[in-house]
Amino acid sequence: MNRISYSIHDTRRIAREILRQLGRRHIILLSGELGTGKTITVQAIAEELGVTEDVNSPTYVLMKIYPLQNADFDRLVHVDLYRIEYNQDTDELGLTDYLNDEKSLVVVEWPERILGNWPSDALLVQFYYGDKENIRTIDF
Amino acid sequence: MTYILGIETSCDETAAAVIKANKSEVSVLSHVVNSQIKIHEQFGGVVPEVAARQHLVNILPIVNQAIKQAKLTLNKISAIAATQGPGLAGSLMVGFETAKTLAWLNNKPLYEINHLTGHLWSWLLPEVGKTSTLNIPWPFIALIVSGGHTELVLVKDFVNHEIIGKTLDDAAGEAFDKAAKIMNLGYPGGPILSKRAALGKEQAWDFPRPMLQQQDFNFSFSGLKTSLLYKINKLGKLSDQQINDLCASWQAAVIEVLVEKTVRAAKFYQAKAVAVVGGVSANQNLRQAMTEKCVNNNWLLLLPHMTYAGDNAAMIALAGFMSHHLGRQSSNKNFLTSAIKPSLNI
Repeated sequence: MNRISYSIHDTRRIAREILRQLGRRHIILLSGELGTGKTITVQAIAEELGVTEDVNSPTYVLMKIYPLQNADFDRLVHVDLYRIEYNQDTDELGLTDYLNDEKSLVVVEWPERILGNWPSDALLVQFYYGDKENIRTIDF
Repeated sequence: MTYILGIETSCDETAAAVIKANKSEVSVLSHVVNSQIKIHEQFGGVVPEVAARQHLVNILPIVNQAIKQAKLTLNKISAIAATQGPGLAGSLMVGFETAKTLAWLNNKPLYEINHLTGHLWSWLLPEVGKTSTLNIPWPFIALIVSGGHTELVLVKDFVNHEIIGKTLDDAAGEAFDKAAKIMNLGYPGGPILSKRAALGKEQAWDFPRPMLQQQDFNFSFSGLKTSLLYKINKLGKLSDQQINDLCASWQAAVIEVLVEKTVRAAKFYQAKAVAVVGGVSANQNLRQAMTEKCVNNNWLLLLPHMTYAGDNAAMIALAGFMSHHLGRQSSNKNFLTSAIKPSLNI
């Protein structure tokens, strides 16, 4: 699906749509340049799932975990691989437990840092800059 | 007299330090920091496995060095303070478990310290071998600014600390690093950007001042990053002077927001002083801008020595002394089963 976002508000709405598209999957990969709306997407997903604390960038700690009270998921695992060296194995990130746990909704920013190692059923969402400022294409 | 061994491994630094303190003064007897930034540079980023392994290799020699430099032995230490969180799980674990083991085998209390609380006191630390008096202007507002944090904290006393504002997306230091990345300035981006900014004109470009319209004390730096990106896409190939000007103008926007929100918070809470701590507190323009505001408003400005702006263990030891001795908080007697808290808040 190809969605055009004209604003942060649009991006948040599309984020909720991504969540509905998830089906039985529990891993979402958000791929796109700096400033295309990845963190906003995670914030909207978190809000939709009832996270009340502020969700901010986990770039420096690599991941932040938010407990969820939700029929499908026990926790939201927000991962940001921006600071990670290319081509590492997911095993070395301490992510394996969450990737294998269907009760963990794992949302990963900068997944391409270790592309090729992600479970094949992960939902890949790609963010692109549009022709004009504030416009983004979100593809999933 | 109390001697506290501090241990810190929450992110890129393996650090240990010994402080000596009583209720009126504190001395730093040793302060050892081993940074992994050079290693990360070589890999082009952080490798959590490598980071944790490096902490493991370094931790005991560094603790040993801190104790030796303090001319003490472990049995003379009154307590061990270690960072419990927030931070990188694999890295935190190394320092925290080492501290637990040392405390257990030597029958010492373990102080479980919040890394952010450590920063709150970093401005009090004297240089190694020197002593400073524990003269604290209550209440004070602390701006914690680093790669991983941008928080405004109201510090009421030794144990009551309240986050009154924070970043809603990127931390200020992270914004510096990402902006530097957008302009391909190299690694570590933040300090390089500031150097280039010193050669440029602040008025050259107009950047937004995010969140200044909002009356709360929160920050947002993600939009500034995007706005820089738009400008660069329009400009195409950049000359050195254009880069310098962009750096200067962009940095001025970040600093203005940091300073303005801090000033508002200090006024609102009728603070006696303003502390600026964390890695970004080493930024000269930030220090200068904050100094002017503090002079105008008759607040004391509390700044750490450069050596304590970044992550270090002396501040962790001092935080232990503040909360458990002066603040009379009891330490966890069952620390053997205690675990790290990577997502800890104040």
